[in-house]
Amino acid sequence: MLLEIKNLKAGYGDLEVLKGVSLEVKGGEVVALLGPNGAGKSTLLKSIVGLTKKTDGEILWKGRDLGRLPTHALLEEGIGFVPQGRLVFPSLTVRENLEMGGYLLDHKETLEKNLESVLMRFSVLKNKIKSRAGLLSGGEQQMLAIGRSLMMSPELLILDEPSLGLAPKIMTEVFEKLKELNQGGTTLLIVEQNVRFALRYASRGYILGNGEVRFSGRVEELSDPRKMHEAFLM
Amino acid sequence: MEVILQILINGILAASVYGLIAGGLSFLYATTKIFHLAHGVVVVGGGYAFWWAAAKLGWPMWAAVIFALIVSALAGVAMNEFVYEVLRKKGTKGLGYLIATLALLTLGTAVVLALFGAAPKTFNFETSSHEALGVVVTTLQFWIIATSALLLGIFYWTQKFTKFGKAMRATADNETVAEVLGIDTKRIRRSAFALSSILAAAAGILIGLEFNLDPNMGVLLAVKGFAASVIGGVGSFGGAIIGSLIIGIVEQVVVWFGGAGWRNAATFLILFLFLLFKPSGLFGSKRET
Ligand SMILES: Nc1ncnc2c1ncn2[C@@H]1O[C@H](COP(=O)(O)OP(=O)(O)O)[C@@H](O)[C@H]1O
Ligand SMILES: [Mg+2]
Repeated sequence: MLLEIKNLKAGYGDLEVLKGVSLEVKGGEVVALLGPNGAGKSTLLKSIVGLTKKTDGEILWKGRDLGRLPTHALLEEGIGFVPQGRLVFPSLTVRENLEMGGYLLDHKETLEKNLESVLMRFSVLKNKIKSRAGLLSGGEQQMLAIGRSLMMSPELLILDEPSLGLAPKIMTEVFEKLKELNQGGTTLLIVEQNVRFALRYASRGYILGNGEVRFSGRVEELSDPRKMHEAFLM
Repeated sequence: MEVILQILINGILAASVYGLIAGGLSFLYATTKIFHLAHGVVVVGGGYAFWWAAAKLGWPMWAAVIFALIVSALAGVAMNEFVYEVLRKKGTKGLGYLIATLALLTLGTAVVLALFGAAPKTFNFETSSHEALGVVVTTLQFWIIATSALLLGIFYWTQKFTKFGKAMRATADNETVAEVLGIDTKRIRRSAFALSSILAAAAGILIGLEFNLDPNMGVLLAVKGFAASVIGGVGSFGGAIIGSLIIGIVEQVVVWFGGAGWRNAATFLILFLFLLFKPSGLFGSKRET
């Protein structure tokens, strides 16, 4: 098991958002995390990468408790995170954004090598390498945010609503890129509001509702509209 | 013609000092989102430290300069560590920082007053005058402009091209994402205070050499720096330099026609006009995030 979350509780101040969530991700999988707005999906992802402090439960990475490891340690462990909202550094160039993705790399050669391979994967970025990231289109910014997280060659990439606010055609492009990534060996945990996409690209899924797991299983089961309805309304 | 040139030169001279202050203020705002008005007293502290070492203790010039840079850097970093970081941990918002920075400005001024007294300090620095095209410039003034330009240039270069400078700009753009990528933003903030305080010390030294040091001038310097960074667009380093040039030159024009008494009023008038008609400043960016 790559990532194992057991009975996780977390929140903000007095507000408990996650009320005991358990979730597993095996190496090589694409796991979708679905659920209505405010269900706690982002909070769950933020807890994994240490941006939100857990109050109870366990987060195991390859069987080891991640405990209170600082973010840079997680990156070095091979966990990458693309936060919600296409958050590139708008005033930095595309190249500088990617360099920041590899901030923790000690060797300039490794940085250049990884930069080269990210640009191979995202050729749209190659043509705009010197543009300010704030001037890119929405789809390009999302590609950049993903590309930036690949600079550390993560084993597990965690994405928070990568398709948010993108046109359907661009969404497909983004997901095709993610699929390629997965075929190259990267495990993916994706929060996705768009059920259709989740069903098409993921192998397993979880539905989160009001801080609890409402459903978990193979995506085929999810495509049963009654199950879906139950999960969302429960 | 000579008059215009002379006004221009004097304006650039003042802007050399303002730019060192405003550039630091704007940079600090970008990286920490704090309007560090106590920066004014960091300038004063650097100036006095230099005066104390050079004029009072008779240290060689270079040693006094290094001493002043260290004093200011420590003062700026201490303000960050013991006040701003503490507030940040408690989740303080804008107004809390404003009160804190005004308190630091007042406190710092009181410390300088207690240590050095109220009488202004001067250096009586020996310098020669040069005349060309009907304009008079002293050797010292030439060096002030050159030093300021060089320091601001080096600062800009480190921001633009070094890994740490890029990380500072990334933190300015989005602190949370910077953290997600493993950038130690606390260390970034500390370094930002150290660097801008070094620029502040340089401003203090130059003020001491060319004009004179007054323990109460921190407030006015903070206001000038604030005005220049607002005019340039808050958070824009280059904008702060342009803003400083505008203020420096307009002040000299006003002084020429209206007398020295109108000098500071001119700063406020420009600031007011910008807040009214162009609040985002010349190079202010409306960030998408
Ligand atoms: N920084 C925060 N501070 C306080 N409450 C928050 C914060 N972020 C999210 N919340 C609250 O936590 C709950 C879950 O939010 P979130 O995890 O973002 O849900 P989702 O990603 O599933 O839409 C919501 O009620 C939201 O208002
Ligand atoms: Mg969310």
